[in-house]
Amino acid sequence: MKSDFQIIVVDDDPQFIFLHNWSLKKLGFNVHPEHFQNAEKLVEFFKQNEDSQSKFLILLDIYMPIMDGWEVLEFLESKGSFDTIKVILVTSSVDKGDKIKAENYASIIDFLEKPLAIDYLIGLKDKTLFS
Amino acid sequence: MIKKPLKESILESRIFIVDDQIKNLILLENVLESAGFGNIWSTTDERELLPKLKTEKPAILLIDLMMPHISGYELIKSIRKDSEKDTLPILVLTADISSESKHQAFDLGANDFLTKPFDIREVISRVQNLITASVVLDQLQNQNIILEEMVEEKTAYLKAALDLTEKRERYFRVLFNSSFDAILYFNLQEEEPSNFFECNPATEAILGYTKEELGGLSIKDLDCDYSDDYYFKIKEQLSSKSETLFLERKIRINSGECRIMETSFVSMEVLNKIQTVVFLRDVTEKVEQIETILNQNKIFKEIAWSQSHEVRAPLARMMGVIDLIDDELSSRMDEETASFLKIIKDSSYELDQIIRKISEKSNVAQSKTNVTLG
Repeated sequence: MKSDFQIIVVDDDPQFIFLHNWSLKKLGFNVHPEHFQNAEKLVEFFKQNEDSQSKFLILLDIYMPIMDGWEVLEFLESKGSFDTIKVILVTSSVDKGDKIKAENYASIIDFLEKPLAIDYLIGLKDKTLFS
Repeated sequence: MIKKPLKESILESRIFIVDDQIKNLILLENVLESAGFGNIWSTTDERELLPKLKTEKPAILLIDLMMPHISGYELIKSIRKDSEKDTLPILVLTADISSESKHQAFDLGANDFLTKPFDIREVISRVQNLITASVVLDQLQNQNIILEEMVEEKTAYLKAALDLTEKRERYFRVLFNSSFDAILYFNLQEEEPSNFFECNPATEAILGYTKEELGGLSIKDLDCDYSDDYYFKIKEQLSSKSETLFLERKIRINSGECRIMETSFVSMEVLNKIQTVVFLRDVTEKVEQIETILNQNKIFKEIAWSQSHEVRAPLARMMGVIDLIDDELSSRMDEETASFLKIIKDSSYELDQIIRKISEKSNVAQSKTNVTLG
């Protein structure tokens, strides 16, 4: 198992955090001990760990109060850390406009509609996300 | 009409000579031809004269008085009866030099006399004089006719122009009277806007003022946001470009209410004076309708957003959990519980499809509304 990266779950809905973490841990992913219930905390986390060379896969919700997923992406892309941070958008939204908008961000490797399927995560395990 | 030189006209003039004595005819023809007259008709039978005159009008008639069938007097008398021939110069050829016969001939309408035997110079001179007088008279008459024709033509032209102007006037009057927009005339070129001095019937309905009341008002009274500076700019624009200015202004109607009106200004010259015409169309209801539509659209957007994002979130949670139960626990379930779970699972996926369809429809409606409302 290629656990050279950590997964961070960002969602304002604690039940989704619970479900996502539960599935990830069950499948043996290296889940970061911290999960974030709002985007500001995630941004804070990356600001504090600017020099870190660790690799992160973020499961990012889009619509959150105060700071939304798009703003997080703007922040991440402004850092230019495309090699160490990848994003999978995981949203309840079925608005097609969101999917189109997601194409503008290089950090995004996939766009998922909730619920997050176990089968998808199983498939993810065999992929090389970070070269 | 082509004008010929006078001398040419005189020499080409048609001359009729009637005398029962052939020698007189020969003599007169010779004398006249020698003087350059070449257009002569003559006869010794005086009965031919009147029929001939019906077909042709000579410039002069030389006529003998004493002839066997009809006397010169009678011929002159019948010629003068004909109003067309009353200016025909008649030169009487007579040997009778008594004043009585002369008076009788003059009374009947003869113009001059040549007494026999003829004096050659006298013949030429008399004929020339009478023809000259006649030709000049003709030319004068022709000129009069030409002048009359010109006057007539000009009058007809002026009448046509007047008719056209009246027609146009009527045409524009109909437009003016039947327009649904208020149309008011005033003067913006002075120190400050003048009172309105003309308006169409629609004005009274739109503004609630009578024509007389409007005569005591100016744009200052009607424009709720009137300022001298603003109207100075309008004046500048109207005088620099001869275009129509389209604006949206709040216009105060008689009830005191300010209504939103499409307001256009045009500058035009009427009788050497610059006048301003303002057209008003009450669009308050239209604007309100658009606002209502925009508001409804906003609410609709919110509902659409809410159902595609917020409503779906708890559903997605349920679907997630149901999937987990299905994956992890279904093998341990009894048949009954498994069929209940299947109902819950199918229902949640059905609801998911419904939400997706509503979301798609609202996206389509959204983009259509955006196009319609610009």
